[in-house]
Amino acid sequence: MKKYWIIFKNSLQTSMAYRFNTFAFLIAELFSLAVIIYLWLSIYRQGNQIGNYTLSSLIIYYIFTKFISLLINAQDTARIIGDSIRQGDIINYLVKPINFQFESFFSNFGAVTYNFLAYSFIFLIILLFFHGISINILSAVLFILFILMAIVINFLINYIIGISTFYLGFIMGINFIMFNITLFLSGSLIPLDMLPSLVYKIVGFLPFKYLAFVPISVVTGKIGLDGLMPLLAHGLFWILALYLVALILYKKGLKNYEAYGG
Amino acid sequence: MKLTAVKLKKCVKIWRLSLYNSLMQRMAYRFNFLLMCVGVFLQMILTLIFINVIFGFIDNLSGWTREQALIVVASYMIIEGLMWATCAYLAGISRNIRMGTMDLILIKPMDAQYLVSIWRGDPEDWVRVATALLVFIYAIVNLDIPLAVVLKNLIYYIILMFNAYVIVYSITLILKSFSFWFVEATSLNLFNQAVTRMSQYPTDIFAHKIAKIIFSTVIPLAFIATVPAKILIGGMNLYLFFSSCALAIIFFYSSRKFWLFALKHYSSASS
Repeated sequence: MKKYWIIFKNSLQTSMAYRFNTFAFLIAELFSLAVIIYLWLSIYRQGNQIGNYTLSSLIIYYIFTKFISLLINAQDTARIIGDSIRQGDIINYLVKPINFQFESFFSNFGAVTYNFLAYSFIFLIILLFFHGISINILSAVLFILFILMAIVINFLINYIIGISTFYLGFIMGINFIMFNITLFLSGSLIPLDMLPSLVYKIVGFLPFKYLAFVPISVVTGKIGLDGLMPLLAHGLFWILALYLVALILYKKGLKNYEAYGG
Repeated sequence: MKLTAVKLKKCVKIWRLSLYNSLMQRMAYRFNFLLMCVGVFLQMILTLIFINVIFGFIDNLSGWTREQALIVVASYMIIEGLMWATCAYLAGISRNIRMGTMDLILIKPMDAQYLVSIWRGDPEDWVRVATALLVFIYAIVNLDIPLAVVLKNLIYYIILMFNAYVIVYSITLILKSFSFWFVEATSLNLFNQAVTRMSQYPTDIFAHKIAKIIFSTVIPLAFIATVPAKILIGGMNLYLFFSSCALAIIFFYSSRKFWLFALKHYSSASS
């Protein structure tokens, strides 16, 4: 376990080295948050009620989506893994007593942790500015639990895309498609319960909702305690299913890998 | 005069070759290229779904009907698509500076800004332009504007869209020029996208006075999609038209000066 701790620490330190990036990412997200807020302000000014959301609850929803997006997208895992397979650098891991999947996860987790440390305080202030929600200890703990689930699910999805390089040769296209699908089906673009009920039901079965909609619904109290257990079980089912898919794809891919480059 | 014509011919030839090279690079992974096209198309569709969901709840967005707003969205998509299809290399400036591969551009006997701008174009983004044009035509047809009026306003619209392209290009170049000072500045791409994407909705949503002034002058978002759409729908407005032309000239001149200034701070990372 010590070797993964070192990988985690290295990734954390690498992220710290590029502080300008941290700042620019934050400003970029705040810009797009401002647009979304202005857009919804303009809609609510006409006296409309959108779904079950008041203006302030919708603004808080989007603040959380930006925060979660900054956390889980701290590293472009799919591209990094894809490049390492395509350019043959993966050989460096294969000859060492390191599990490639764990290495990738802890590297990703280091970047996520750095972003959590860098951005959480700023987003807390933004939430307070918008007269945010009253968060008790239980909802905070549950939020962290579901955020961890989001990090793992997001990692596994990106890992699967990354190791698709074994089969596709180049994953830029599939990565771009998945980015857009994830953005929409996670609820980052529109809260999922604003979609038509049939679409909402279908999306509800998929794992993407855990990447934004579910953690936000938990922390804002939209999901009661009785609804938590099925959600947790469903989330764990997806983690297991994605993990198994990743394992199979990796093993099969490695068998046919010609290890060019390196 | 003859020398200028020869130089211009050379520039066009190099641009054509770079577009051809970009296409060849994409064709090396044909299935990936197909997926990239699907991805671009999907991104457009999701934006349209978002607009449709919004207009499912309201009749107008800060005075813009659904079809009018679609013209703004389509105009933005056209500019974004053209930028990626022609000047995609700008997005990679940071990486090339970090890797030292910027040298390959700078040592060539041509204007470095020109080469950096046209060195790569993403062919899949022509799908973005084509989709945007379809949305544009759909919106125009459903607006019930007489054809003669549309055709007359279309000339102004094309000039304003050219200005918008120059403004977006200049903003991108200015932002990417900061890469010469920062070793790792890939986040500038995200920042640049966040800034320019603000213009995909009618800028009338920015109701505050200060926001209006900022988005008309400092970052002239209004002139990227909203003003061209306004003139196409409502007819000529001389003040907006000449402001757009002036801003395009000012921004292009500033970006050129800033690029040359930033270039002086380049220290090669290669061996």
